[in-house]
Amino acid sequence: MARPFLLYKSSAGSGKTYTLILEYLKLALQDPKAGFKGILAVTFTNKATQEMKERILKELGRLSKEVKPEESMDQALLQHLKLTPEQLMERAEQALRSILHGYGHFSVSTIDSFFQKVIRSFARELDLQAKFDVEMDTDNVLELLVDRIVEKVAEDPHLRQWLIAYAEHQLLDGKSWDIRGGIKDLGKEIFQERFKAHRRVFQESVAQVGFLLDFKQEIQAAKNRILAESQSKRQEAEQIRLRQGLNWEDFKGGSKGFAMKFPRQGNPKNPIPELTKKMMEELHDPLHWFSKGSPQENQIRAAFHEGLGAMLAAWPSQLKLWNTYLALQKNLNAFGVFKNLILELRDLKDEEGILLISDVNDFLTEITKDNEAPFIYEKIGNQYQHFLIDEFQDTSEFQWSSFKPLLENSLASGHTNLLVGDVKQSIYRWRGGKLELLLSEVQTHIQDELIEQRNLDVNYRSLPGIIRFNNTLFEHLPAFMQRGIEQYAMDHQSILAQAFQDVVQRVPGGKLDSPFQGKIHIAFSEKNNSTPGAEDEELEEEEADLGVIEKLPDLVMRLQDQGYALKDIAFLVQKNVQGAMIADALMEYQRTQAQEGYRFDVLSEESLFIDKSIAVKCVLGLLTYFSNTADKVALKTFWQYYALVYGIPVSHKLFHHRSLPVELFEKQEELQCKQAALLQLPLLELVEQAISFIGLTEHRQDLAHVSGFKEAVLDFVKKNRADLRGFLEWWDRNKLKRTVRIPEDHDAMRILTIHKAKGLQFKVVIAPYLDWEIVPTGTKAPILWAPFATAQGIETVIPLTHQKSMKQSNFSELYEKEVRLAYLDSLNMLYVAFTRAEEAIYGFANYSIPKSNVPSLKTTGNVLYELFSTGFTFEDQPNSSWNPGMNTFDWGEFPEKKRERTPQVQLEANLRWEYQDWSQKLKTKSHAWDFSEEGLRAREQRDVGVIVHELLASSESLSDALLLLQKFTFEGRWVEDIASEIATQLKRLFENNQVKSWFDPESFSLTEQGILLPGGMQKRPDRILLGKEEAVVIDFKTGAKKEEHPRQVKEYMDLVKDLIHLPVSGFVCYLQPLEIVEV
Amino acid sequence: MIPFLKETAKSLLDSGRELNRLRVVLPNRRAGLFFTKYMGELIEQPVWMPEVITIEQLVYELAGKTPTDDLTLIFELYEQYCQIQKEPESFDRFYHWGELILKDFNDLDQFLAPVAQVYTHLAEIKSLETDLSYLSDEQRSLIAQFWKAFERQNEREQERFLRFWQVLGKLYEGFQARLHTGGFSYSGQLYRQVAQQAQELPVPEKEVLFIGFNAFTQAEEKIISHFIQSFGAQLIWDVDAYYLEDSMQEAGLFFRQYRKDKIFGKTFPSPIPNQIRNKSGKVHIHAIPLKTNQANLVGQLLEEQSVGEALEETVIILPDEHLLFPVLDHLPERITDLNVTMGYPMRNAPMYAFLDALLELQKHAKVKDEKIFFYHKTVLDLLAYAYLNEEDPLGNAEVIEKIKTNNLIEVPQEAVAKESGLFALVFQKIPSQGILDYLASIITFLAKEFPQNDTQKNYLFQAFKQLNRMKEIFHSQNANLTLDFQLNLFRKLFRELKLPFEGEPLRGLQIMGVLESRNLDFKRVIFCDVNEGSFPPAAGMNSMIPMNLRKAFGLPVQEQNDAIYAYTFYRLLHRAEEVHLIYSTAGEQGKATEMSRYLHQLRVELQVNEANSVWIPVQMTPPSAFSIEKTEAVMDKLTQYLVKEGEEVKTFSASALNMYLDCRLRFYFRYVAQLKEKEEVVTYIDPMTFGTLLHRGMEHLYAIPEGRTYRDLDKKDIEQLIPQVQAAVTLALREFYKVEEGEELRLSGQLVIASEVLAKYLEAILTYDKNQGKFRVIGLEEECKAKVSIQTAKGIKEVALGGVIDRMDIKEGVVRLLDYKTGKDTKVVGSISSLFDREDKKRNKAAMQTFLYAFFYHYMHPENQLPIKPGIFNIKEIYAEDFNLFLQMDKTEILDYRDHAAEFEEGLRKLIEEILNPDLVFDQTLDKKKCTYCAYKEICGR
Ligand code: SF4
Repeated sequence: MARPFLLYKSSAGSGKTYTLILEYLKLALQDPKAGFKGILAVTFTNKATQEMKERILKELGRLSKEVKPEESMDQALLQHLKLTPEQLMERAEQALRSILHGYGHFSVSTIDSFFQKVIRSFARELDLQAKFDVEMDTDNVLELLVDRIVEKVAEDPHLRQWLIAYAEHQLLDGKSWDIRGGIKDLGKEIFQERFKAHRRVFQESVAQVGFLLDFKQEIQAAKNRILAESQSKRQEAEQIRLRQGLNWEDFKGGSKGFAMKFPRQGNPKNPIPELTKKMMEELHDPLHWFSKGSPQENQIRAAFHEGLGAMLAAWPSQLKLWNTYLALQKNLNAFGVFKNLILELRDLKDEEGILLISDVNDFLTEITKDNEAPFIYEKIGNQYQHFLIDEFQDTSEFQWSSFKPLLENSLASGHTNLLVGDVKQSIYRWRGGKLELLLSEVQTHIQDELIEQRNLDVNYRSLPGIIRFNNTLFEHLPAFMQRGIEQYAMDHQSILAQAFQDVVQRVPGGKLDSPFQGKIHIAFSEKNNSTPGAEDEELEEEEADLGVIEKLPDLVMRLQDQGYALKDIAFLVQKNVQGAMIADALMEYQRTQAQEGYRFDVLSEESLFIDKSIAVKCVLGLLTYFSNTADKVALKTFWQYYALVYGIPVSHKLFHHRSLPVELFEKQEELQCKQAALLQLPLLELVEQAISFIGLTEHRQDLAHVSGFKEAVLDFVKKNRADLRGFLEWWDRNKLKRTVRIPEDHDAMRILTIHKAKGLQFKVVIAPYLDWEIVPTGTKAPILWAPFATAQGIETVIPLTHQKSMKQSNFSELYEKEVRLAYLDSLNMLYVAFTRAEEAIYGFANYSIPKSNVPSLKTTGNVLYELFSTGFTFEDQPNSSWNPGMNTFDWGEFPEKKRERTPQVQLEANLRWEYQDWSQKLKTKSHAWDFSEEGLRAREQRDVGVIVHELLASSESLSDALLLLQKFTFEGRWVEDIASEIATQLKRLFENNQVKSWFDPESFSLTEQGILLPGGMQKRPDRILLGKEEAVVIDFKTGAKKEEHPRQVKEYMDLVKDLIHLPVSGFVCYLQPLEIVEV
Repeated sequence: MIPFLKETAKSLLDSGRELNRLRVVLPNRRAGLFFTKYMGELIEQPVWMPEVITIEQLVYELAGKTPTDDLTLIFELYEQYCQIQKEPESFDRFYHWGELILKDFNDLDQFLAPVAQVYTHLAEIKSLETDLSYLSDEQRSLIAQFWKAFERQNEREQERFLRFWQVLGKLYEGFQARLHTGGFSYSGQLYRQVAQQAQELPVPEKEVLFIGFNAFTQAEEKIISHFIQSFGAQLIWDVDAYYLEDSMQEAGLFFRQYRKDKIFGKTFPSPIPNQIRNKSGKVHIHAIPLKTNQANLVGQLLEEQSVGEALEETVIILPDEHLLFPVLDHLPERITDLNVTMGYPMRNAPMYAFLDALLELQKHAKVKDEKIFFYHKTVLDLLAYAYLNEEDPLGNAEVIEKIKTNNLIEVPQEAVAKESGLFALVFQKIPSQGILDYLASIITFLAKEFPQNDTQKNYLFQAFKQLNRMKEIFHSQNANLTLDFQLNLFRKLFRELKLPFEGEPLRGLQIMGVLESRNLDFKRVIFCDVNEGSFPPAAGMNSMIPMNLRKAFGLPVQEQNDAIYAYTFYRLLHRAEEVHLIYSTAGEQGKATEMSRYLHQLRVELQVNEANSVWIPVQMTPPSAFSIEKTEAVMDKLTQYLVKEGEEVKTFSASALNMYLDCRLRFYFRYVAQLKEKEEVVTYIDPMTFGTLLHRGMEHLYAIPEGRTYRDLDKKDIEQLIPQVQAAVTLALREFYKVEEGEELRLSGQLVIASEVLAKYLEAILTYDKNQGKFRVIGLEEECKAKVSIQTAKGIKEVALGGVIDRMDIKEGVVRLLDYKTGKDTKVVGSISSLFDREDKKRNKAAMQTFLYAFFYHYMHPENQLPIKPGIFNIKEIYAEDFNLFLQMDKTEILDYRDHAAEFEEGLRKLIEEILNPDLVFDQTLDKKKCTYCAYKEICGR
């Protein structure tokens, strides 16, 4: 029997999507009517979800029209399902139509949305409000939390004491006393799995009163002790030295020798000197304490034996202790409020009825733990038998543990399940992705005999040259990376090699002989040797970029010459800022110096920031001014951009607080006129009118950006109270998340981060920034959660910042593991970047010349440089293509120009942008006592007559009228005592016999029914009674008698007479006071 | 194109029936209006109008009752709930559950389900599920630590939770009885009642026709069947063979069932019309990136419409009401009439925000010593709204100014309230039971006094109605409700509230929601937002009854919902001659949007063409660098710094010079263009405030007694001062926040921390002074001035400089000029010239400032023989053991300003000459880091 659990390891370009779709179709076509309902396909992103859905529909559509037994997919399906082509076609059509008409059951989804659906069924149990929201913006939540905690200081003496100590500590460190930033930085961890995984221990330890305070004191005391001790050691050392009549320079190495470390003991910052590996190996022997032939040999030997030797020998262990305490102390202050944060978060969630996106996994993990029957899933009416999970290498521990019971359950009934992934492409560790699951753990969780493991190792994506290049590159790169790990003075444990053992891919037969085999160009430039992670990080980036960016327009033109369309080209970057720089530069080039026939359009979901456009800035300036009309700076900001849009030169007149250039006078007046009216508008309208006021649409200025801005307003309005001040605050927090949207099929170059590029492919890949720091330091250094037992034996977990001093501490293992994984992250990133290309790769990286002979392998730029510059070649290419003079690696030739470039005509979008004031065109219906002028007057004078009139006109009887009255009252049009007044009036009216007779249930009456005239005009007296012998027409009136009243009724009577040919009588009935006039 | 309703009207006219004896029942009112209109178009002489009503009207009439409004019902439901549930939750927590329960009751009744049975089953299911025994205690407590609600999952709570499910059946029973006594009712109840008594209904006077229905509830089915069978009523369908005959097509789900029904089956037309199948050429699909862009496309499509065509033959369908305004905004000019039939969310109207702000005002209002105070933020929020601003713009600005300059955290009533008008109405303190009257009175006032258009009046009216409802209910419940509760409830209710737009339905371009389009036909249909999740809307039945149970008892589930939506979609295709379906490809940031299943269906089954993809041009103009030239006007401003006839008009301050060195343009904005950076009431402590408080605190401690010019302090004096530090800080705080004597000073959490830190810092200064031994304070916060001669085009001129020196003292024969710093300042000075070197990233601004003070002192006291030493108390270093007050150059202390005076003054002169040099422009700094905290960074686009 076939093994039901398929575990596919799929290297880049190996047709993973194809495999998934095929498996899906195999399952779905088994039962074309309902089969799809039993399958859940899990993708990594929403976008992938959509693509997979479309792909499935497309394949089914194709199959339902035509089955080609020679195509591999068709063949596989025919075989698997044991069908004839005709049968397959029929099934495909059935399946397609079943899906289209049972679309709600077509389950392709991300893990998150699937879990959210599950969680929703727990709403009542969790006492979440029926309409709870899933909150995505954890930053915002954190901000709220921290503010709330700080506010609690006034009531909570404990917290107060702690925070004040924290603030002081910050001051001592020369940092701001405002501790909120620090708490926020660490506080992010409360949403992370890496912390949550430890929370049991965490909770237990912090549950003990005063635990952290004690712990803090313990650490401080220990540090003090070490410090004091080392200071006394320093004295002791000096005494020994003096006794022997020595200077520290007399020892081996002189003024740069190890002995200079003795007087540095006891320095409050670094009390224990650090020894190099070499020193540690040698210095236990006094032989190495003096240079050969030193006249002071004997004294030095004596000093060694008198205690210096032992003193020095104790340093490593003491340093380790010191570093351990240092590491523990580092985040302790912020950590101290973790408990408060968590408690506060609970309250916040409870009050606001929100569920955090990070809670979802969390909760399911807890609830599914050790439960065999995943019956919680049954709550959502789980109907799935098959699970197909994509990008499995990025699944988190929690996600897996929540999913596992489902899988196990399915497997137990022999259903097919599929996991696809590639450890080499695991680049989401920072988000909780755990590649070990795919690497080894799953196999231990699931019974062996159920697993069918396959390696998809043919690369269908790239040209042979690219495949071979990558094969060789990634066969060698792990070893170079490992050398980098060794530079951290540790062994590499070969995790890289393990992850990359299957890296070599095969070239599919068909492509072997294609004339064009691919193009590779890797260029390096040398950068100043400054240490990465220094203070001026940003600046460094900018400087480092200049060189590459300038090369890009040229490259893009050459590619266009080569016949590539813009959408064939993608720029891969590491960070969004880099993408934004490229986008800016290319757009700038297009604007200012583009040559005829070349285009530089870019498309990016991450880099085209809306906020950069002057049009948007102009609108924002105006809105900011509206939110506070005293804000002169905002007003001037507005004018400045307004001037920029219209080419009015900026000048002193423009900025001076009491003047404006003449060209703007008219607009200013207009502004003053409109201001008040604008402020009353709903936000969306306000923005639209502001845009129109500025004239951006007529001017066709930055329309995509302006649209993007409007969309942002719409998004805001949907979720929030729509006021201007609130919006501006929101915008400030979110502007860096909003980018311009362009349809995918638009012919433009893509700019995207390597992370987002996963799963995508492009003909040409340009990676301009292949240099980054492998192990992040400074503010980017990750937090590691370290289990730790205090002196009192309390088990807890402490957040440590990954930093060098950890290496020599009790946490060295943790430190080293992180280094190794960081290297793997970088290796994977490079793998993803290099394997996106189908035909051509352009890579650019910086490197630095080592100070010593050993090149530092701590940046990817250096690792790559080291690899390429030391004779990198690949298969079939014995001649190295490394050009040492140019610092480039170059391989492959483009074929003769494929085709003439056809300069694309830019379609001007056919859209209407102009604003139109509609408020006068929209007429609203009026009712008695509404807020129209008459309505208000009636209300003011408590004129209930109009209401009575409205009621009578639509009623058949007194009870009808009372019913209607009740309905209007329920609507809230007036309050109950008015209603009872009306009721009294009505009843009084019905005491009149004549009136009563008009509402006699015995007679046939027409209510709200009048006479229809040709063309649609209607004549509607309030009441028409049709008897056997005669008809009666009645019209009720409020207010004073008027001549036209009887005339009107007469008109009605005539019409009625024409229709029934019986005598008709007519009445005008005045309601206040009651008076009946016969016509 | 002949609309279905017109066709029906015609067949009625043709049948020669007595129109006044006819009762036409339609799914909604709008259909009725159109029906009558069409009839009018068809006749040649006056006729009786047939009676046109909705099915609801018919049922309510038969029941002799109309349903009570939802709010009342939920409140009644809650009251009932409280009677049978022990320890019930508060009403505002209950509210949403109440809505759900009510909805379920409605469903149960509409579908004539056996209520008791359903709820018994439900309770059983829940008791199985709620058995949290599958969680270990440990797990449970762990979850509880992160989830407050889970804490309530202890046994007692669990029992309560279960009880919730158990009481539902009883709740239903009790609720029926309660409504009966109260004279209330809800819709489903009336339907059930009529359906169950159908047999006893009297024969109607008029002939009844049911037109254009799709899905009936069980109750409707029963009633209508009865009408057909017993009263000969007629049933007219609006169907198409395309979905009726295809058993998979969800749009035909109900029809296929009814066709098999022995009563309904006979009512179907024969042959079944077949209009959709050949529509493919007339259907156009458009894909567009953003949702709002759809409005631009709609505008364009209408623009292309030929001029002579009647507007009312076009409909725009908006599944998402948020698109309404964008669509209206981009209509072509020539569209003169339009009719909107849909709801617009109240919470998007400024009115809602205003009311909410009023409630916030009341929530934070306080009475102290019989005086009323409002919290500044709530006041400022309110003043920003047009309503108050309009009434008295000048006075308004004044109030704002007053609040900001005085840093009034608590604004006294008399500062804002006025004798009459809106200000008087708004700024009063209202007891919680009067809060709704307060809002209502303000609304009425606005309706009367405030000029506004119909739409806005409509907002007001709707808000007013809702408030009235709340008022009535609270009143009748005799509830003494807290303000918070009312605020919560207000938000809950208004957030859900939709403003009905009701126009003249028969004229102009038609814009409507999906459901409003029922029964109507248009020549041209423009359908927006044809995206999954929008149309059809996201799945999700709001019900407390699980799906399997619903299904078992014949209550509608998702499948039925899908069918109804699909029918509304396909029905619009019946007769249309041109259909545009628009969907957006990019949704909310980061989320992909999927095109609607209907589009897939159209493509596969009707061979409609692929979407035409619309794109937006992406050219973009970024801000460009600019500079300001020193024109005459600018020079005029600058020459104000020149001393004229010995008088100075303006003086350069240390911060002005520092600013100039940081960024010339910034200096220009601040000092030449005089754009004041905006002021805010600070409740949190920003670095500026922190500095101010520090200075004030020190001034209090070392104050020179009145009438004296100096004060000597020695170790003992300072020892006595140390205990007073806290008081000095408090005093500084009181002054800053204008808290009068006797009034309580309430500190926010952040202030508590800040004030402690401040006290520590002051103590450190004092301790340092104490350890250093005695000294003589000769000036605190003293204004100083000096002049410098510079070379200008017009010869040598004098320029004035000035500033306030934090502290001057004399110690051991040295004059010390000291500054207190709370930032990151250090004392390392590279060189004197580095102080003027804008390129120097480590340029020491604090040193520049103290040097300037030294210069002032030197200038003002030419007689002085003592060394002058500038120094800084900087918070960053003061706690260090080896703290040293004085500036350092080349690792040695600067001993006497006079040693460097010449160089410094030369630098100063050059700097000022540069500022006044007409040839040099004010340009932007190249170092973008300097822009981070610049008030003008928006202008610069940095
Ligand atoms: S934003 Fe930058 S460039 Fe502009 S004024 Fe401020 S500091 Fe100068």
